[in-house]
Amino acid sequence: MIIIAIPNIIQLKGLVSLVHETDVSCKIDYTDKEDQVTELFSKHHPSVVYIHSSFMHLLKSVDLDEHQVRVVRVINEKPPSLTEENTTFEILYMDDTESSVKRNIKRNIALSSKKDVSHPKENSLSDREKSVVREIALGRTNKEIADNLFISAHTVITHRKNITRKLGVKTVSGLTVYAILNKLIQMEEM
Amino acid sequence: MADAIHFNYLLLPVINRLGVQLGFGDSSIEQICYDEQIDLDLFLVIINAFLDHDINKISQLQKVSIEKVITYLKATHQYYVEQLIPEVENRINALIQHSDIDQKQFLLVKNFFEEYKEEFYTHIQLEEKTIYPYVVDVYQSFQSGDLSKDLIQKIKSHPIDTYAKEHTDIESKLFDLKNILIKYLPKTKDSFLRNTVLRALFELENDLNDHSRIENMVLVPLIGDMEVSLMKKHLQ
Repeated sequence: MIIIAIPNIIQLKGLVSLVHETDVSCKIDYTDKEDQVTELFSKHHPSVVYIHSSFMHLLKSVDLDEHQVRVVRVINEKPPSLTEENTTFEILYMDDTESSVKRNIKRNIALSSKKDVSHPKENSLSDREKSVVREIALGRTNKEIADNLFISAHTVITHRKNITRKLGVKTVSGLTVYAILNKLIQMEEM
Repeated sequence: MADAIHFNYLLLPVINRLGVQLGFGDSSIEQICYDEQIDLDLFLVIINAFLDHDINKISQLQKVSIEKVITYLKATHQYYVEQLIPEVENRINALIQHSDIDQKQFLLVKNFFEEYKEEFYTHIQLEEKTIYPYVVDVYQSFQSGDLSKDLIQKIKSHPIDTYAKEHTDIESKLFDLKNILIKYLPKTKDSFLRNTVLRALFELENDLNDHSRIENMVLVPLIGDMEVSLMKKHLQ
């Protein structure tokens, strides 16, 4: 998992799409809001973080060593002359060429200690997703599911997308069979 | 002809549907088509479309008469209904009878497939009773230049595009069923019978994909163009 936090939305989305172009298998979450950065951290336990220099102070509250995160500091412009700066973190310059940005991404993904691919839990459902599967299997609509679980209909749709991606099961009947086989519902409830 | 089968055995039902049965000796495709009075162009285009998913190859079907393509598509339906679907059912039944674990769970698969079958048959009915006759009507009207009021009404209310989406749900269900068998049914001591079900499902999927490729890439655009030109003529 990669997290990207940059306050400028155009730069943010630009970098997100470059990461996608570099490594399609990599999962990304991103934000342009300062107050969401630490939240994303605790939610995903990322292996690589691209974070804008103006957000760097937020990292003080995160135990980087414990998380084994590879932090890349995003800086708007390359300084005219290379000064001896803080070299604790990797750096990505926003005004760099496409190929060197991609090289930077590739290197950091490769060097990150935690690999997304081998993460066993990536494909198992979260508790919330399980309850959504349960609701789907009981034949409820998105609106009903949203009301029952106290979430927005939009969130229900996001959960459904993630469930389909994780399980490789798309249809309601397919999810129902899945729910029964995994004891998320009993046959008698149907 | 034999070389084609050795190249890809999944062609077996395809050549059957086109009217070729096994036991043809060393005859070439051309010879067999001549002997069996099969349209050689149709034969080659269908076989090539099946083997090579390239749109350019498939769109060569447009050269062949629409009626013949429809006859072929109907023959594929017949193959699904009379042979492939019953075969899947038999294999699922064998799986249920011979498995060492909770039968209830395998019954879920059976029910799921039943549901799929119902939907699939409804879809086939829709195609044979409504869509194909409509396609032939448009085609004939385009050829002859006679445009009936009834057909104008149909073109307006249900152009061919509206049918194009029909396939997706059928495909999704089949996809789900495969994953349930591969990933989510509990382990058994031996997977042999489960493999046989899956093999039949993969074959069905592969064949269906070919079927919908022909419909979506050949029939829909071709008839869509004819609809437009017929309506233009009508408005003049």
